Amino acid sequence: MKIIQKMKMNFNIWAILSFVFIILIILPNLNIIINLFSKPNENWFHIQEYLLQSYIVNTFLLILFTGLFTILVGTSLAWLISMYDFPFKNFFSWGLILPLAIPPYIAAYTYSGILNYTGVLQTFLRNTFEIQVNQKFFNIMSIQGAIFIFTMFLFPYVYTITRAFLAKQSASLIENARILGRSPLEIFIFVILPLSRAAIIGGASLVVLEVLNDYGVVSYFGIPTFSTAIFRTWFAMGDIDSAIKLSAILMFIVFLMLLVEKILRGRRKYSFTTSKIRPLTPIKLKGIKSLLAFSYSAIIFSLGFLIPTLQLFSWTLLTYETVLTRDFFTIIYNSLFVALIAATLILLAAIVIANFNRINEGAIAKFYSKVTTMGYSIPGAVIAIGVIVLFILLDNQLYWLYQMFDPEAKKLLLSTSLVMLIFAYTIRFLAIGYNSIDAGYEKVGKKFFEASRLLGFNITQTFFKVDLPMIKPAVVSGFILVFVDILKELPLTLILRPFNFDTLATKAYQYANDEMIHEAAVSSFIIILISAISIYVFNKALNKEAS
Amino acid sequence: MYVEINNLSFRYKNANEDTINNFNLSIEKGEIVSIFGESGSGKSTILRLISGLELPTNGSIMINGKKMVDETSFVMPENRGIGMVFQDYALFPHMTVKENVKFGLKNYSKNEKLSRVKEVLNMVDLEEFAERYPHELSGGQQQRVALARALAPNPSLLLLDEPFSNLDADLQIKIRGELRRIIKKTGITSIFVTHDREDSRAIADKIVILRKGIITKIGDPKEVFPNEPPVWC
Repeated sequence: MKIIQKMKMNFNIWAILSFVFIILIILPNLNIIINLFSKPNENWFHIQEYLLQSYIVNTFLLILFTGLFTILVGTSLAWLISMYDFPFKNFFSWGLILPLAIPPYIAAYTYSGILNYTGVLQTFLRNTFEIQVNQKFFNIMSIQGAIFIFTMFLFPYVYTITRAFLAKQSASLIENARILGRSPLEIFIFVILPLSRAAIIGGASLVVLEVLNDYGVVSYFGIPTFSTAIFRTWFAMGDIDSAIKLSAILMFIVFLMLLVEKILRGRRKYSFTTSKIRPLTPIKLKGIKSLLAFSYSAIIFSLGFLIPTLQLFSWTLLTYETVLTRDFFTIIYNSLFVALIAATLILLAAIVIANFNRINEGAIAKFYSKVTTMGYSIPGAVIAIGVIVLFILLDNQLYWLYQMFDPEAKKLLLSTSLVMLIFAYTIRFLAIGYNSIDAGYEKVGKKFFEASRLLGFNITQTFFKVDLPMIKPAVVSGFILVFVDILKELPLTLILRPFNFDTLATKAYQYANDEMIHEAAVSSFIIILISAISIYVFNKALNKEAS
Repeated sequence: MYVEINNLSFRYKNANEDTINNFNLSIEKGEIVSIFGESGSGKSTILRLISGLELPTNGSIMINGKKMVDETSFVMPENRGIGMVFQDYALFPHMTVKENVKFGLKNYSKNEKLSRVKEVLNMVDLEEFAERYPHELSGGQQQRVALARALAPNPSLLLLDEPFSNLDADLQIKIRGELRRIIKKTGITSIFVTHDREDSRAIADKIVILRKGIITKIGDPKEVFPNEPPVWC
């Protein structure tokens, strides 16, 4: 009886819509898990026999070393920036986030362009010093090169999370340790590292997920991994069953990683038990130490942002006249158009689910929020395969309907349309929109909602009159984050775009793949510019809020 | 009786004990009832149950002959016609004082709205602050806006959750007298929750002492707190 009464109480449009969204997210992933147990074909035996091992080895090498190096670079920079004062420290504190503006696949071909025989570095050495270098040391197209690229352009995940943690670190801990006679290095190793373990692991796991998601870098460098393998079996061999099997294994690795993260993190969270937080007073560095701190930050900033951006800018100047045709404006329009539509849909879904979850706290809400945020952990290639399978199935089921409207309708209608791509974006980036909205609701709390209900407004009226105006900043910031991420996205777009539909990201990738690195610069530069501006604006807004 | 609460029980999710256990209370029209208890005694939960923000595990609530909740039925909070002054006021920060007070006047015409807003703001003596935003007011003023907002739609019942907990001690004494005057003037039936014995004695016609979700004493102030000097209000 109580259950029926409770259901009646909670049955509304928000509950129905949330339920529909959640089902839509689960379906394509379910497809992959179910197909895992289907009978393997001949192709699969070949893959299993000769290729699978190298996919697994390469993937693990990449995540292991990228994880380690990003932790080293990210944590050390976070420590320097929050504990010490040295020249340009304030600039570096947000400048070191900028490498995130450069998608790794763009960085990959930019660096390979800088380092190859005709690139700026070797040309300079040859022409000025008549040095002929050993090509072996300048070849970035290797697994070591990929680790370098991932480290340089993904370490900000570790850096930002750890820095935010250290900034809130209660200063008394560190001061106490100092009074007890420990050197700064000892404090770093024995106090800071164990304390910020959860933050560091959290950042590193984001890095690992990005590496597993990557397609552009490994395919450009010719490293066989799961994502390239999924592409190849699907596109080159047309073998969707094996592609699904590979996807399922990759998904298994992702869940394994998340489990490892949970174990490593233990019971610790990012937050504190004490609410009294006094900011750290940074120590002013002098002389050689100050120079060292500055140089280290400057080198990482140059490698991770300055050098590739300048190189892209100079290539842009070389080629913009030939590249900026009318077709190119179509591409810009395409990119903005899909990003706008998808970001709007994502924010709508995020708002609906987040609102439902905060009104109905409990097991269902917890499950919904898990499902919503799951998409971001699943690599693009896997989502792509799941979505394709689902849409082909839908097309088969709906064919009679298409024929009713148009007797000569094609059988594959949905699966050749933009709907499929936008749907896939929604699954992958919903987590980002949701987290933003959820944080917004958290900040506002429930009391305004309750006050409005008691003044005679139902959930929906309350949402438009009270909730929405109050979470507006969260909506805007969530929108920008999602928009930029979609603009940069590569693997999903490559697999799922309709025929002849190009975006800035796919065009840059194609040019680079066709050995037209200079031509790829224009679209890359636009992507980086938009991302960098949004990072700058965000950092300013965050700082303003914090102070 | 105007308000009839019978056998009301409530348990929060994941809790081992009932927060409210077999709570019975009847209130006459126009009466001011105070529910007095320590923090954790369940007193705020009773207000949440009466207003419909929580669903009881057991029991029924009738207000003015209308069934609000029992074993089978449940009236949504927005349809109960109950006014509530929240502990931290919950004034909408993106609306002015006037807009806050006007908010609950759903089915009024434009002119009726204006005159009603004027009337209640006048009652709480805040007419000249109509265009201010909540954060531009003092704590005592914010509390009066919250009261005006709750009273504006002419609710059948007024609930006040720890109305003085955010005020300075000297302001508290001044305001509780004022509050009783306003409530008595409108003749509205009210329930207010407090952990301050003086507040209870100063305002209430009837006091309910609640401990761990169970009523331990009920009656008029003299019966409940005998042998205490009269309070000044």
